[in-house]
Amino acid sequence: MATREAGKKMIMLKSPDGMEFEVEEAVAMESQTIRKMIEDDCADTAILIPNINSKILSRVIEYCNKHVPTTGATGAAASDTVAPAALAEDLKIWDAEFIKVNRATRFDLIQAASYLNIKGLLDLTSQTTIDTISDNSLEEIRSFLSTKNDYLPEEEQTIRRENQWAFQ
Amino acid sequence: MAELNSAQPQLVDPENKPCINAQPQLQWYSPILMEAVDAVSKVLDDDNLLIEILLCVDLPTTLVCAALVCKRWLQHASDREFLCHFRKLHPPRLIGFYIQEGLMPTSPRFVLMLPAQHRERAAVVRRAKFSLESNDDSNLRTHIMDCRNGRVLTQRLDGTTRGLKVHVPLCPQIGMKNIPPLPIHEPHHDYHCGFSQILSNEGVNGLSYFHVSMASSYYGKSRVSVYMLKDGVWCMHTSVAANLPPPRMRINSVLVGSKIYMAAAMSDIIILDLKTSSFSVIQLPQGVDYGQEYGSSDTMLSRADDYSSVYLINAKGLQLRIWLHKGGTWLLVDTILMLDMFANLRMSGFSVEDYRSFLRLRQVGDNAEFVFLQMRQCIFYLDIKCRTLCEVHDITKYDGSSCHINPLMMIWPPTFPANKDNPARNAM
Repeated sequence: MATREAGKKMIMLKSPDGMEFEVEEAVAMESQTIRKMIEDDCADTAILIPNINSKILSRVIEYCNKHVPTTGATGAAASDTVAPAALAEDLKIWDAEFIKVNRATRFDLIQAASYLNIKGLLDLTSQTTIDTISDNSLEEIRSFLSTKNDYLPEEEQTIRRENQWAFQ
Repeated sequence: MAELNSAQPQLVDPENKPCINAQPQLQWYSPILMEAVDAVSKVLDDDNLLIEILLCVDLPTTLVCAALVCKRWLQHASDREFLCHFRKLHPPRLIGFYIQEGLMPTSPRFVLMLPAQHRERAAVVRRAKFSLESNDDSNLRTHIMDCRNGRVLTQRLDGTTRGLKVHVPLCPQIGMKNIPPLPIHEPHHDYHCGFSQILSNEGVNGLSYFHVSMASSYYGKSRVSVYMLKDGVWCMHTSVAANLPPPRMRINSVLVGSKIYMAAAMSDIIILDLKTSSFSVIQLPQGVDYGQEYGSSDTMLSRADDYSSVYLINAKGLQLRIWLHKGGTWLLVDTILMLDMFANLRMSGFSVEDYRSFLRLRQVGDNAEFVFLQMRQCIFYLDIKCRTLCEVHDITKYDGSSCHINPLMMIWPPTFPANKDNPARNAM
C-alpha cells in the first residue's frame, strides 16, 4: 500500500476476495455509506465492503481519489493557479476516460456506486448507460441490456404512433 | 464473486485500467460474456437502480425510447410518481415561440430557439411543421388563443365562422383538429363586456380547454361565465354573478388546478374556484399595483407546478420582481436588475438607459421559469433560473406597438398506454 504524508487519517477497506486498500479517510468518505459508518463510530480501522470485488473496489477508490475535494490529496490539481472552471473541465475529461470500460465493469460500478452511495459515480455510470440508449437503435439497446422484447408488434407500434414526435 | 471466478485477463489488464478495445460493441450474447449479462441484470433487475438510471434520461424523446425496451421499463416510465419526479428534474424544454407583431397583428411567425447542438433539435426540426397556415385560407389572419404542451389553439379571423383549430406542430401528421366557435353571449343591456380568454389545463385525455368571460354591469355587478370544451362541444361549466372589482383587460388570467386567477382593479386578483363556483379576492403584494394600462409597469401571472400557487411577475423600470402566492401570503422570491443583465449582454450601439421606459413584459413561462421582454423592436428571452438573457428576435417593421408572444414547449408527458386512462395524469 502506498505510504501517505503524516497527519492524514488512513482507513483500511477490505474487499470480500481478501484484498486490502489503505485510503485516506477523506477519500473513503466520498462514499456516504462509509461516511455514515465513520461518523456513527461504527467503523473500525478496517471496513469490509461486501459485494464489491477488489477489481471494482480499486476503481471506485480511483474515482474517489480524483473527486475528493482538492485540499492536498490530489496535490498538483489543487494548485492555486488553477481556476475552478478549469478543474471542473479537467474532472470531466478524466471522468470520460474513467468510464471507458466494458459492459460488465460499468454495471458493476453502478451497483457499487449505489451500495456505497457515491452520487457522482452513480450519475456518471447511469448517464453513460442512458447515452447508450440515446445513441443506438432499439434492437441494439435491448441486446446491450440483455433484455428480451416482450412487446407485441402492435403494442410497440401504438406507443410509436402516439409519440411520433419522439422519434427521428 | 462472479468477477473473480470467471476472470478474463484479456478484458482487464493487471493495473485495472479499462481495456477499451476489449470487445467490439453490440456482440453481447457470446457465452464468455455471461458475467456481463450477470452484472447487467443485477443492476437492471433492481427496481430502485433502474429508476435511478431512467431519471438520468434528460429528454422526453429518450424516455419514450427507453419505455420501448420492455414492458417493465414502460411500467416504470409511465408511473405517475416517476413522471412527476422526472418533470421536476427535467422540465419540458422551450422549443421556440410564435410572435404576432403590429397594431393589426400579423399571422404568427415561429422562431426556433433550440440550440443547434441540442440533441432534440434534429428530431424536432425534421418532423415539425411550425406554420399555422393552411393552404386554403392563407389570406385570413390567424390568432393564437392558447399555446400549451406543444398544442396551439388558433382562431381564424375571417369574420364569419371564427372557427378554432388545434395544431400540434411537433406532430404534423396528426393534422389539425377543428373546434366549434366560442360561445357567444347574448348581450344584456345592463352589462358591458369585460374580458374573455381561453385557458387550458392538462387533463385526463390531454389538454382541457376552458373559456372564461367576465361582463360587468354599470352597477358594480359582474358575471363570470366559464365554458369547458367537452367531446368537441363548449359546455357551460359555471356562470356566477357577484359584486366584483372591474377586470383588467390587458393582464393574463391563469388557471391553476381548479382555480382561475383574474387581475382586477388597481391591485386585486379575483379567484374563481371552479369546484365550488365561488369567488374570493386577494390583494397584490404590498406596494405593487397594476399601474396604468399603458404605464411604465407591467404585470403578469404565471402558474406554479404544484397546482395550487401562482407567481406574479412585475416589471418596473429596469427591475423585475417575482412573487409567489402560497398559503395565503405573498413571498418575494426573486429580484432581477435588468441593467446588470443588459450589461452582460454587451449589445453594441445600445444604451439601455435611453430605453428605460420601454422595457415591457410580453410573456411569462409556467412556474416563472422564463420571461419574454420587449424593448423597442428587440425581443429578449430571460431564463430566470439560469440568469441568462439573450436577444431572440427583431421586429422588422416596428411601429411602436405591442406584440403577442406564445412560447411552444416540448410535449409532456409522453402518451403511454398505462397512463392514458389514468386520471392521475391530471396532476402532472
